[in-house]
Amino acid sequence: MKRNSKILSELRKKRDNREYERTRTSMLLAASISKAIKSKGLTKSEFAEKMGKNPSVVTKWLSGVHNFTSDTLTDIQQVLGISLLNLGSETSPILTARGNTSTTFNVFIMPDEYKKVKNEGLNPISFATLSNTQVISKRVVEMLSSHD
Amino acid sequence: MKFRLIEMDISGDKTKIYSPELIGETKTLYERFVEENVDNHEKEVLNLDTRLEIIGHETGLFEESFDSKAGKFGENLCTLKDKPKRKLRLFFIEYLLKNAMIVGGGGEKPASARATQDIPKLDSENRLLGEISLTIQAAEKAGVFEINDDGTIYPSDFIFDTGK
Repeated sequence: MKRNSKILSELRKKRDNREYERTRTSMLLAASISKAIKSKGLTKSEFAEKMGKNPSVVTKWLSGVHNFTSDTLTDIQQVLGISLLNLGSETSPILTARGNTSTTFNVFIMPDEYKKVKNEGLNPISFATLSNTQVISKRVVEMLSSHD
Repeated sequence: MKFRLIEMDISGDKTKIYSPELIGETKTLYERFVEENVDNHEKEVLNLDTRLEIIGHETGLFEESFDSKAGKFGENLCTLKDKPKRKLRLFFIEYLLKNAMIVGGGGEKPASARATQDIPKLDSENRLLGEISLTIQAAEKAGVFEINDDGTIYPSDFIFDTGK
């Protein structure tokens, strides 16, 4: 059974949602870029050379704490042939909602489902629970079932 | 010294996250780290906790996200640094190929200090986790404890003994 201690619960009540999302985005970008470099069979140095950067800059990008500019992300997309920005098509927004407890959930749903949630004024948490096939973040479902 | 591994609530499908709890104590090394540093470095502690949760549930542990070589050869000790000011050091044992990490303690590293060994608190936390790492390795080698490829441990309530 997982340890859910009082001190950690108290700490997380002080989380700033905006700061959480910034950290999360930096880490997701770093992980995606790291994965793409490996799947292309490149070393970090080779990738740095293709980007015209020093390898130490790439190390910083991949640390998960870097604040990327859109120019850098655009260049990385081109070199690795991946999509990091998803512009030009409707993106999947991150919906933040509160459950029965003080826990904040981030619910990731596909664009069509997002429209449905917005148009019909549904609660994203309830929607995620009811349509779990569309939910990318499995944790949300797990956490919800443990609270229900 | 005896200890067991406790799976923390930040542990997820991508990476299982454990922290050692010394027998006779009520807090894991990670909880102790949070307690010791939250008053003076709340933002930094929150940043580290957030990153651990994201590693556990979304990205998994990836090699560029931490500093390796934080301990002696063979101990597999690594360091997580907080953002933005990098005031704190949190030590952990990496099991990159097994999607698991064992988070220990750490502390403040003043900008003026050059090495971990220069700060008694960091040095003692580093030594403690190094000892724990070698004890876990010995238990694996003896076939009495196992970390599976999905990061789960068996037996989950195993009591380790460092012999000291």
